[in-house]
Amino acid sequence: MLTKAQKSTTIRLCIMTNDFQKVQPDQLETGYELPPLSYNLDAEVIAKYLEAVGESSSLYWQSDNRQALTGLVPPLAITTYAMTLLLQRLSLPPGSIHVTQEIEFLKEVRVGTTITCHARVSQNWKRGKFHLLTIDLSILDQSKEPVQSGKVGFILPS
Amino acid sequence: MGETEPTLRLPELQKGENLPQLVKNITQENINLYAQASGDFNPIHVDEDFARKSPYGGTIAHGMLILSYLSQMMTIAFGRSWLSGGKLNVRFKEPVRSGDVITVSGNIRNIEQEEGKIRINCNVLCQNQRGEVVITGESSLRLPRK
Repeated sequence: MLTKAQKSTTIRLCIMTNDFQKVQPDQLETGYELPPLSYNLDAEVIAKYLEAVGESSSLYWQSDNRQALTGLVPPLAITTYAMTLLLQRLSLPPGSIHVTQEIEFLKEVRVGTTITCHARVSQNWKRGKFHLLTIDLSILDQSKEPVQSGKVGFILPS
Repeated sequence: MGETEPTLRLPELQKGENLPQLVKNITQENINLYAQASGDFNPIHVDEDFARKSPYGGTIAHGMLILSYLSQMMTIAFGRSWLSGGKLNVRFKEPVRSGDVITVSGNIRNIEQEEGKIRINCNVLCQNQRGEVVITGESSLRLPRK
């Protein structure tokens, strides 16, 4: 188990979203748009991510200085932080399972970019004990250019 | 690993060709490090006492951690093109536990010609040391036609 001290070493995303209220499950009707989630991809965040996933590619680390970043952001880091903020925003009940992930990388992203993720419920389907929630993601940079789009699916306990 | 140049190049690519395989050992230390990096401290990942009482019987890795290995494989295969033309569509089939050894693999399903572009469609897979599929799905990549 992680101690408080270990948790305190967590790299904190620079979250730009102001109103970070939770969205309750009964609000998650098809078509519901969550308030946008914004965060900044600073160098410390990206370095920590690369270390955590064991990524050593010289696409991301300078070949003559393995401590320094090239400035390119691994695309799944962008998705990961969007997902982390999305899960913090959603009040999914314990036992919910992340079952599907679809994501398309549309544009290279550089360290320092501010990302905004728009999330919209595309399916909230219950039948008996089966409850499927699907959310569409649209991820933009500070120029409002799309950098990723995708879809995430959860099975919720009924 | 570590080179920027892709290991697979367009002129030689063929249907059925294997993507470069990756093997990753999953430890609780990896999982904790990922929790710290991502900010996802769901107790099912990091609290062994909590997780032991859950239906999983122990901690499990974050799905997005395992998915990052698939993205790494695609980066090794196709280099920088993956960052602005890649696509993943996967299903998480089974949990990954501390102590598991995950093999990430794939092959080229087909190569399609699009307007001024080529799309390479791949089958991708993550399996544990018992041969159980933990992630399955498709990836694709759009490349400019040379």
